[in-house]
Amino acid sequence: MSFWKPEPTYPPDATYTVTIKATDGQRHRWERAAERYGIKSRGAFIAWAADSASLILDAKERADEDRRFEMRLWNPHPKK
Amino acid sequence: MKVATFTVRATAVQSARWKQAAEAEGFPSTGGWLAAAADAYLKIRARAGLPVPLAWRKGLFRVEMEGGELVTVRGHLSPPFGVFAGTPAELARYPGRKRFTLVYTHSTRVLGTLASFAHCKVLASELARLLYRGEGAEPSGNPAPVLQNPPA
Repeated sequence: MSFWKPEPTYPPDATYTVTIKATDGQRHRWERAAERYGIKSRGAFIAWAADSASLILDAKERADEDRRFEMRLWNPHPKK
Repeated sequence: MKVATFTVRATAVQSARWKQAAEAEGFPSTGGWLAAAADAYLKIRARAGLPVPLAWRKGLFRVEMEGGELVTVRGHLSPPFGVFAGTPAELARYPGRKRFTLVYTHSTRVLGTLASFAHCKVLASELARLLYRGEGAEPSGNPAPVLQNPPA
């Protein structure tokens, strides 16, 4: 699985395991979501969702940083 | 509170990245971070995926057909969108119609031809977001239909 292209399946070299504790509510939510996105296991769904969330949040952070940079260019000496 | 425990498989790269992210964000364990990230993803999807609910009514609107002819058609309206049964080549004149065309009524431009009225409503809802973001400006200056090929 590439970080830049999360895939909804486990790659063949997924040999590490991470244990997760979840409430019943989380378990049901993830099961429903895995079914909706056509992913067969909860674990594969969590791996995929975590990678996707990281990508989205990183992209948002970069976009926010770009926006702050543009604002500084437009207004290099803001009044205090 | 009842707690379930299960495992997630990961590659070496994923495992290292998740561990790093968990540490950077102050989670005591990688599993805790994964659970939070999965929930965060579902929230992002829920927020991003909610269509703007458009209200539709029956009415008449004008559309530029494939040959350039401007015709008035009867269909469903939710300005600035209209949907009629048929394709830009010809209006449907038979029961069990299998093609519906979404039109941007302000410019009479065809946006796409889809397999059902429901699909047209979803596409219109998605385009409505772009219209709101563009403060009413047409999302694309390209006069070609948004969807080039109707889905089978």
